Amino acid sequence: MHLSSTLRFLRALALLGVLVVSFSQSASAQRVALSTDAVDWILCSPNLGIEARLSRRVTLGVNMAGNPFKTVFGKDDLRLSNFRVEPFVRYWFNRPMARNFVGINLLGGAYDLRYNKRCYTGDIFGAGIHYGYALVLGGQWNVTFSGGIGIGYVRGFDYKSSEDQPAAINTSKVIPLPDLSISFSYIFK
Amino acid sequence: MKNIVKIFMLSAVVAGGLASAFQAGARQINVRGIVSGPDGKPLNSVCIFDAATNQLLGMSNDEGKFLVATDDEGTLLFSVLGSEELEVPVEGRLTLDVTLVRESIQLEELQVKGKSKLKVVAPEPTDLELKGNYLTIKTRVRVPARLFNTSTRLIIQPELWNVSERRKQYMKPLVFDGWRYNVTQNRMLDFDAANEDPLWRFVEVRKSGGGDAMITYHDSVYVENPDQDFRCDMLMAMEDYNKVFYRDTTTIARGVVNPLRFFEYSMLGREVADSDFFPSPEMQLRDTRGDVMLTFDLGKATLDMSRPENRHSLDSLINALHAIEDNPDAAIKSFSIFCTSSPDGNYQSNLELSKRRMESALETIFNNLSPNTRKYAERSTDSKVESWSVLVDMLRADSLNEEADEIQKAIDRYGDKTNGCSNRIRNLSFYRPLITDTYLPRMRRVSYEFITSQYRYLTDAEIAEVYAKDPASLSQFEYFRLYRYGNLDEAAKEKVLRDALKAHPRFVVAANDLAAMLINRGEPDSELLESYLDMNRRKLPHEVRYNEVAAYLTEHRYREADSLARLLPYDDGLYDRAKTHVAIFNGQFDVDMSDIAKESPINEVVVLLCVNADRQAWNKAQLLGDSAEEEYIKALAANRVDEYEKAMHHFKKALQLKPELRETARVDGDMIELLEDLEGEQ
Repeated sequence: MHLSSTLRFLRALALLGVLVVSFSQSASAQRVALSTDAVDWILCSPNLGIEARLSRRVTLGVNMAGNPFKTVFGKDDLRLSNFRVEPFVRYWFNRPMARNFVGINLLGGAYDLRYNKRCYTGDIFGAGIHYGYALVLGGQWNVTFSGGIGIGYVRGFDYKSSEDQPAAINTSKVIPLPDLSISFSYIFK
Repeated sequence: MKNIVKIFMLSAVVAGGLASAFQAGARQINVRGIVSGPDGKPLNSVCIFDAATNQLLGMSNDEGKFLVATDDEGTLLFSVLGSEELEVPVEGRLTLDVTLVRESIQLEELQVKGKSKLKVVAPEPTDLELKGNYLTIKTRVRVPARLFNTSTRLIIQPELWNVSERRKQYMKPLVFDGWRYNVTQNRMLDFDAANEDPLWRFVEVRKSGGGDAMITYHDSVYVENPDQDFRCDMLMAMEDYNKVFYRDTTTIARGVVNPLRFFEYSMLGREVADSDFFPSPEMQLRDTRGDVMLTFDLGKATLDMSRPENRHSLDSLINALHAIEDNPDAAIKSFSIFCTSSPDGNYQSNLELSKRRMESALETIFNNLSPNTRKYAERSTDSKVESWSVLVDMLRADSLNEEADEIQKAIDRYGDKTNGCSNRIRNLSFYRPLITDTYLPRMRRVSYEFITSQYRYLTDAEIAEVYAKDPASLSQFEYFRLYRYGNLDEAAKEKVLRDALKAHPRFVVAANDLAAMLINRGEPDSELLESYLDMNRRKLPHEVRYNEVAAYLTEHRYREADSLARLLPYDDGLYDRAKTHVAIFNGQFDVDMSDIAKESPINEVVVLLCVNADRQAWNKAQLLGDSAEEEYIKALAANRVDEYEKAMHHFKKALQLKPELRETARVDGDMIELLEDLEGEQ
């Protein structure tokens, strides 16, 4: 029940991201950057970010990561599937997509983790701030380092894997959300 | 500056020519060849000297080619800044290709290394050199590595200050972008660097790495009057994405290095000499008054042709009129006839009679003319009765004073032209036969006057007369006669010429002759002839181009003078000399240098200084005379070879002889520092 509502929320966010991008593209022959995050790949989450400029200083983008399959790490006891959408706004101190920036980001996601004979299933909403540096590698290539902190609200189920999922949500809490990313971007001409 | 355009006038002394004159048996040959550098590329502006006499023979052109006339047993010395001098014996060869070795410039590099400790962008002081109308600046700018990184832009903007006019002119900027600065420009929203960055087309992207950058700069700027005072400032700025973090301005050159200001030449204004260009005579329509007035003796109302005098008079009149009818350039414009009756008898009937006689006369004459003449000629008639007072005058003229007094009494009593008066006179005792036979016939006559319109050449007197009354109606030819052969003084001649041009704006001969006059007066006006220059080449006298070249040179418009001088014919004289002068003023020194040396030793030194053959220039300069200008040139040459004491000595002498040279030195890039030293001393 609540998972389907989360999915609806995610769909809405994704749609928003697409709208933002298509709007900015049509507004002026926009430069759009596609990026992908190395840290997510380590977590076996395929991911893609899209970023477009709003002004000489501000960019708007969205990162999406998702792993619909229950990835099995090592022994059978560790599985993870997740889906995440992260819209963000960045302020660049020099030029868009070059050098230092600060940003705020929102987060919405769903997770399904089985670890150490326990299952954690639920969704998460959060907000954070981040700081980063985009290293210009060439005319179209960047590598961007960023780190930040935020808070997240988690709600879901926490139960033993040998038991059935409880009927009602049995856990909800506010957690700190550290954020670390190393992403590679390609900026379209 | 009267009658001659000149910088200085000196007698020519051939310095180098003496030495070669003693080499008996040597043959003059033309040696051609190509000078190239160590990399095989042709070297231009290489000076080629006769090694024995240090006589500059010529220079290599842009393709490295040269042509010099020299002895077949002589030795050529090739010299250019940056390369080692090379002496090559001619040995009778007609072709000599030479390769110059680069001069070691270790000293300079050491200096550069020493300076690189500084943390500033440092352009090297240099000279503003003049070539034609172009001020050229060459310098090197050292950019310390620590100032420059991949996210910065360096702008080096030289600006040329015209100190005399307080005007600033930007030269070509140097813009160096760090590569990150460059590639991220287009990441900005709504920014198209190629169109919106004003410096984009000057940008050179510099890769990072390496030590301090040494950037060479070279640009030239067109200036209208190179005699003015110029200064070159170098403005340097460095910026990153957000701010300009370094800004500095340095003066790198003051004054203009232009030894040519002492180049002497003379170009007199020339009047058009080729009569093919003279305006052809044009006939003007002028009215002419028939100059004979014939008188017919009258008896009755009609002309009595049986009288031989009348017959003769009429015949000669009709012949004159026929002659006009036969002349295709003439037409009878008007014909007037006057008839006068004697006052005897009734006044009214006299008047009637007079009219009839006149009509009869007119009829007789017109019957002899062609119908067209009759149709178009204006006729006018007049008739009158002579007054008695005329008789008084006639009598007095014949010393018949008593009779005259009697008649005067009658006139006084009854009034002239009255019947009473006539009656009284008829009753006088001497009336018959004296008055009736002698005087009355003389008072009756038919006279005529005709005016012809005729195209004909005006006489010089008529031209002068018409010019005084209506200058616009004169033809080109008439103006030409007036100013060329009118014996006018200069002011009057100028006025005639200006009026001629007002009346005939395309009157090229007058424009040229006026221009020549102004040149000779030292006030050339290039605008005068400018509009004629696009005329068909064959229709334009050479003098026009020659005079315009002279005017351009005086006005420092060297580039225009150059393109125009190329159209002058080859004549081995005046025109060729003009072409050589123009070439030199345009910084083209690949002309026959021996001619220049022959023309004037000053010019030889000046040209040597222009091509930076400083040592040779100083050697020759020491042989110059001791006029103020020559002393100045000696000082300049000495200063170039760092003979400071001698330079100061000659400079002081020059200023003593001609204090105005101080102003020249103030704008002279070669001398400005010497002048400041001198003023500091004083």
